[in-house]
Amino acid sequence: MKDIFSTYHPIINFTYFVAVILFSMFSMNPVFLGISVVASFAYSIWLNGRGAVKFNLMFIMPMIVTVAILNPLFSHGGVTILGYLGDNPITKESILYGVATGFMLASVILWFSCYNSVMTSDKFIYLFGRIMPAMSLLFSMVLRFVPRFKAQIRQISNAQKCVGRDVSSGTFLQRARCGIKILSVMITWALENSIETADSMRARGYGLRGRTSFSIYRMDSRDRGMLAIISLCILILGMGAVDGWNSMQYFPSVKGLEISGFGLLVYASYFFLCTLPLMLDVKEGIKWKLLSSKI
Amino acid sequence: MKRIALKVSMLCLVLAISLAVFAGCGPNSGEGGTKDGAAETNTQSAETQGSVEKTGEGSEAAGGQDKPATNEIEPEQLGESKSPDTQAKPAPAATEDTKVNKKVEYHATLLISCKTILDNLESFDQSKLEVLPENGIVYYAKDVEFYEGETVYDVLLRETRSGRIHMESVSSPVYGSAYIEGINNIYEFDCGELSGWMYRVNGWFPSYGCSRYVLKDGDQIEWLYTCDLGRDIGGDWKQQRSDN
Repeated sequence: MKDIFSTYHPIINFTYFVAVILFSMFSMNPVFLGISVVASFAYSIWLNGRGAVKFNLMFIMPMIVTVAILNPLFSHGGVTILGYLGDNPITKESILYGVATGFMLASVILWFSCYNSVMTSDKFIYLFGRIMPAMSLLFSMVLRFVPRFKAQIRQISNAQKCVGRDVSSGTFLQRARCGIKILSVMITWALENSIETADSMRARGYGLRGRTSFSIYRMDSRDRGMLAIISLCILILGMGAVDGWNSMQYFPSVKGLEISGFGLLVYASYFFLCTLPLMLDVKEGIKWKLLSSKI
Repeated sequence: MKRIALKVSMLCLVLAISLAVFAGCGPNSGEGGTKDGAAETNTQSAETQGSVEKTGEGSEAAGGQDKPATNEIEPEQLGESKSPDTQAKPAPAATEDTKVNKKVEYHATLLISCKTILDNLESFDQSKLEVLPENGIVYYAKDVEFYEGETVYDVLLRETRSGRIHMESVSSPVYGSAYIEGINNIYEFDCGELSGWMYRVNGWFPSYGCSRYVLKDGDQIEWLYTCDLGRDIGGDWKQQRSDN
């Protein structure tokens, strides 16, 4: 499914993800965490399809559980003592804090996976290529490294299979030998490739003064409107964060959340901000259905 | 590719040179430090020795002080062990030396108090107000049983557990002892940066960790929260050192 939010101006995509990732990072309020996790989960599935579901369940879920288990082993604050580990108490508060931290980490990772598919490297270089050419090239290369490495591994292991060095069959020793062979090929490839990329970018005069680059991004009224909406949300959330609405007290005891008009406004604007790309897609889908039904 | 190979070899060269320089400089600079330290000890009074708070240059000087200053520290240590009231101030016991004899039961009194926070409420962590007892006493002075060979730490651990009082400790291998980070969710640094838990046995603040203090029958243990590095509860280490 085509994502509408990706077609907006890179500045909007970038601002959006910076805001959403920062607010997810610094929010330990369960309402914020819930909104963030659900929205990022849905959006990552929307963007990356079935592969994302598998990744989310295979990787994110165990991570939340691990953090929830690890935190009470190292942090012992909290008034509700459930038991003892060695000399130190295991408390309900630190378990809850661990769960919240797990969800926070999960949402940040999920947002980054969305960021990766929306902010393609050409968008990033369009935004920062002029200001900091070397850094932005490096950054986009680093972000692209893992997926590219994975694709190349598949290619090389298939090629190795053709010459009789199959990692998936044979004794353990044979398979290990083939695996090491592939790894060595991969490292050679990665090193050579990075040098080649740098050389070819230099050959094209990347980062030189007065050099223009082709881009198809244009700031139109739709983008300006979206920027205004996002800025408004960020403003409300910033005020809410100053007021402490994005945090909650876990230690020494968990304090329930109060509800007030402004608090609800902050929650609503966070919900709006997090689900914004999905809402755009849904709106577009409905519009498309309506228009095609009229024909 | 050639240029890169050249760059790499240059980098290796620079690394090797810098390593050599560091290795060569190490002892030299150390000597300089020692000299400075020695000069300082000559000019300054014995009070500055072993100052924990000193940082930066001070710590360097303290490191340098180690050798020339030992002869000045020794009399103190000797005095500690040879002083007539050795009974009142036992030397720290090594953890492996302590043997608990469960057949012999002793009694001691235990008190846990954080009254000093009440005088420093403005610097106290506001979210911890709910765990602060109104009169500042976490554990009223009570007679507690313990076994021969047990330490202050063992008693504190047992009593906080049986009383469902929160207590967190961490063992610090450097000092071979346990360090009490927090009792009743009142932690170190919760009331200013000089705050934390200290213990006093029979009116003396031992200069070592609580799991190295082997108790005797009838000892009076007090766990006190300080907001000023011990000065507000009579545990000023400088004062204690000069008293010795």
